[in-house]
Amino acid sequence: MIGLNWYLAASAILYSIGLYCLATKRNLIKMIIGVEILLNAAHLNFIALSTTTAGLDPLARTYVIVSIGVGAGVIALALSLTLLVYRHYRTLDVRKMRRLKW
Amino acid sequence: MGLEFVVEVALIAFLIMFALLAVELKKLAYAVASLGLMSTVLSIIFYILYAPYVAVINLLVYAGAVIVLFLAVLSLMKPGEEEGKGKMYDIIAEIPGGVLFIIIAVILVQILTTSYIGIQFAYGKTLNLPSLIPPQMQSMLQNVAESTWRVRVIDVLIQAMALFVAGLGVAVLFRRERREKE
Repeated sequence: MIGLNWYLAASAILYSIGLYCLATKRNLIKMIIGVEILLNAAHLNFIALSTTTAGLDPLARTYVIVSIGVGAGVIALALSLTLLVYRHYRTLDVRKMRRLKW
Repeated sequence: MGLEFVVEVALIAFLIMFALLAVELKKLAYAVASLGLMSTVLSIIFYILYAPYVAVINLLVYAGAVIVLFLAVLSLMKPGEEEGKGKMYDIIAEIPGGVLFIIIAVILVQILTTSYIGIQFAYGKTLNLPSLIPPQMQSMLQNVAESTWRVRVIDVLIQAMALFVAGLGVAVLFRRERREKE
């Protein structure tokens, strides 16, 4: 098995991909994809740090399981809001959503 | 350097490649498919890291349900409306974002590897991932179940509540839309 550093580096790169997506993309669906990538990076970090020769930490895994469930709920709500926004504005570009009045 | 090493490094490479594709592909359906592949690769990595419960739940939720939800939302939009026009990938337009990505990645890798050295210092020995199935692995599944249902039972209940509220919210949002149509 490869060293822990590889997984930590992978999760850091994933996290930066997610941040990059949130900072540069203007499409709402792309932004939700960015949030999901951020969540996955955090999960990978938790699991990698809880798996060492010093022992396996079950609490970290439980935390990740809870986080997966909550993350799925957040993404479902964000997607349904995206659909409503699309039906109202006829676009997913966040720059064009200027009117606050529904 | 054995086969195991090559497979794990390849999995990490695929993970990062699919994440980049999910962000950069202009056609949203392809981007979502790439996200699904990324979640699948991540589930395999979780399984390798002795987290079978997390791997299965990640596969079911992120590589299954969430991707279906993404595709359902995309199918409810007008086809071709939100897909990028022109070239599949515009390199020059992505240069400022790319520089930002590289800076963030270097800083984060530096922070995480430094904290890893700090953890090693705190333990007083070098920490590596277990090369063989450790003895703790035998009781690990039981430990995960125990900690889920005994130690973190409040978290699990709150999670169930949050999922229920999210489902209710989605249902209400769709219902309101349908009523407006009628």
